[in-house]
Amino acid sequence: METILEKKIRELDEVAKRNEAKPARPLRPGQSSLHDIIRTPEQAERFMRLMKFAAENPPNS
Amino acid sequence: MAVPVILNFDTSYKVEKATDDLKNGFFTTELQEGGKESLKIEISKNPHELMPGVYNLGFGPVTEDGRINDKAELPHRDYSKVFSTILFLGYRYMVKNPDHMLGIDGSDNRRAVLYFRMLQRNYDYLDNYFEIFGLKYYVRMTRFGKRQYDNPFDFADVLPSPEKIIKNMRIRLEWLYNYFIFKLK
Repeated sequence: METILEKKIRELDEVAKRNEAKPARPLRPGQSSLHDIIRTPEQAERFMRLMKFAAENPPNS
Repeated sequence: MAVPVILNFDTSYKVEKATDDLKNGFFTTELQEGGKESLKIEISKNPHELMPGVYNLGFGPVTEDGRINDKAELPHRDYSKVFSTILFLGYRYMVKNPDHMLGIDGSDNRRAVLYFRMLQRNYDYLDNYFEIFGLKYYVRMTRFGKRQYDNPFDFADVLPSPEKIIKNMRIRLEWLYNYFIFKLK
């Protein structure tokens, strides 16, 4: 007879087999990830300059 | 959390979704005021850079960008079921990956105390499945007091040293471990 733990293990194995969990929530329509925006080294450099500027010039400073 | 946590895989919540490698899983926790919240359990893709074979296990609600908010303070109706579920998935992950160990971060001193007490209270049950180790993140060097160097260590020469947690061990709270490592028996 199947124990409670064996049942839990069987259920988890079945869930895992379906492989439905996404490692990250998918983006909503209209949302972009940085990965989509930054595709070239030049874009990455520009992004880093912007981030540095934003860090050095916080709002209300 | 006034009620003591009693760990038992038999009473865990059902994992509703998981990846086939069991590195990601979701379950729903019931909250004290009656609502529900989806929680994610996530095992890191890569091992800790200083501890080969140790993979981080994080859990919590998921933010808009899909990351786990491990600082969230949710009032769970049943903490025992929540932690039993997290450890159950971790246990099954290690059964499938017996050369992997799982590490849980205490995040802050309060959680570290909570986890340590939970491990001690459930020592006999956990001992059926795991060896458990504690690790301190930081070496507290007090010899020089305020004259201490900013960085007194050669970090290439300082190794993390997990210590086995044994039943009823007593440790001063200020010396408590920050990180707990589970190894399958």
